[in-house]
Parts: sequence; structure tokens; C-alpha cells
Amino acid sequence: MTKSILIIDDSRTTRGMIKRCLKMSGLVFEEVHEAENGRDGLEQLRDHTIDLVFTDLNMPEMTGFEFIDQLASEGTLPGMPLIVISTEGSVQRRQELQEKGIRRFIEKPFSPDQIREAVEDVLKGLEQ
Amino acid sequence: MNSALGQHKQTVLEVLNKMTFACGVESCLDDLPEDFAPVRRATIAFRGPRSGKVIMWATGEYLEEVAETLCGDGEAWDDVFGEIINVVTGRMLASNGGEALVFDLGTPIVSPVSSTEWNNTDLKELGCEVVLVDGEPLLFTVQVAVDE
Repeated sequence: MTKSILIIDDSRTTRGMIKRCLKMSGLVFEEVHEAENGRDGLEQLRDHTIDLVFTDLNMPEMTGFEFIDQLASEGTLPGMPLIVISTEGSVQRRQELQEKGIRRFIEKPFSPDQIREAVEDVLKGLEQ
Repeated sequence: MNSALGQHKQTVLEVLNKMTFACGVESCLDDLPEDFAPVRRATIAFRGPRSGKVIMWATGEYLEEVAETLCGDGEAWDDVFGEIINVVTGRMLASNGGEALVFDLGTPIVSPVSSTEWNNTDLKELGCEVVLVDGEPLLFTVQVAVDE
């Protein structure tokens, strides 16, 4: 099982909901790191070994799109198990994410089942 | 100009039921208790094919319960209410405009409601709608810019 997770969202509420959904799904992580925006998220990635990342899109200081673009410019995005969770579920936004190589998108509000399926799908993709 | 709000009630209830594991039902202004007094107002702006804002009002009883449920901290009213209006508005826009449309949401602003302010708030003028969530009234209005 994955050991370390990073949750990037400016809402403490959503970070808490993701953690609770993971727990309800039986997905246990040894370390849970949290960040309030993309900039904090990048720092966490530099400071820790992270096995799975959840990120919001609409955040102050550095958005989820900017965070993803930064990972892409550093060349670390292709191997990054990353799940986007956002209220922005338009077709255009989803296409933009797909073009950036993002495998999974979850629209808020989400259920524990959606979180579990996304985690399993992303981690399975890494094994292939 | 206020949008036709009745169609939004179901979206609001669906979001709240899924997000907060709550049991919500439709209600109306006439059913509000005379002593109803919200303690927080949440506002979020949206821009896109239509622009405007969504405003919600909630009681301390509701916010304490939902904050405890979502955060395990019954005092995290502002963060919880901000996220609720963020998700509710996102789903309203998607339901109303279709997922082909792209909207940008602003940052939610949550602020206290004074009794003076509340007494001067004309709910009918604002076009407010009401849902009952676990028995607690939650008010909202969607205001779309006149020239949209």
C-alpha cells in the first residue's frame, strides 16, 4: 500500500473530507501531508517522498493548473500519481487536464467510492 | 436580476446530502421561524457566460453540526461554509448551464451577520430560497448581473 500522500486544497474542510473518505475506503497511509496551495504543495514534494497527490484547481497564490504546469516543466509530471479534485467540471477543463496528462479527475462533491476507485486506478496505472 | 431559483433547490439539496451526509428538504420563506437569525453569510462570485454571485445564510446550529461532521471541529464554521458555497455554486452553474460552459469561481467570503444587518435584509427583494437541512433552515439566492 502507498505510504505517503499529499493533499493540496485551500479548504481545510475538503482536506478533511478526503482523509475521511480514504479511511472509510480502507486506504491507510503512513504519512499524510497537507498544503493550502500549489506553492506549498511543491515545497512538500521537495521535502518529502510522496507516493500519491490530490490537488484542487482553484486556489490562491498558485492554482492547481499552475502546480501541474510547474511539475511538467520540471519533468516530474509523467511519473506523478496525481488526482485532481475540483468544482470545475466543465468539458473544457477536463480536456485541458487530459492534455496535460492527468489520468483522474473527481468533481466535488465526491463519495468515498469515487476516491477509492480513483486511487486504485492511478496506482494500477503506475504498476503497468 | 435574480435567476429562476426554484430549479436550484434540488441541486442545493443534492450537494448538501452528498457532501454533508445530511437529510434536506425544500422549504419556503413563509415557513421560516419568526426568531430565525443566521450568524454567517457566505458569498461567492462567478464569471463566465453569465456573471453574478451566490449568497447563503446559515445558523450557528447548522454550522456547528456540519463543521463537526466534516472537520471534526464544531467551530470551523467559516472554512466549512466557504467550501459548501463553493461546491454548491459549482454544481448550480454546471446544472444550469451545462458542462460545456466554463465559469470561474471567486474566493468564498464568509462573514458574521449582525442583528441590525439581518433586520434590514429583505429576503423577498433578494429572491431568497429556503431549504431545511436536518431541520435547520439554510437560505440562498443567486443573483445574475442585469446585462447578462
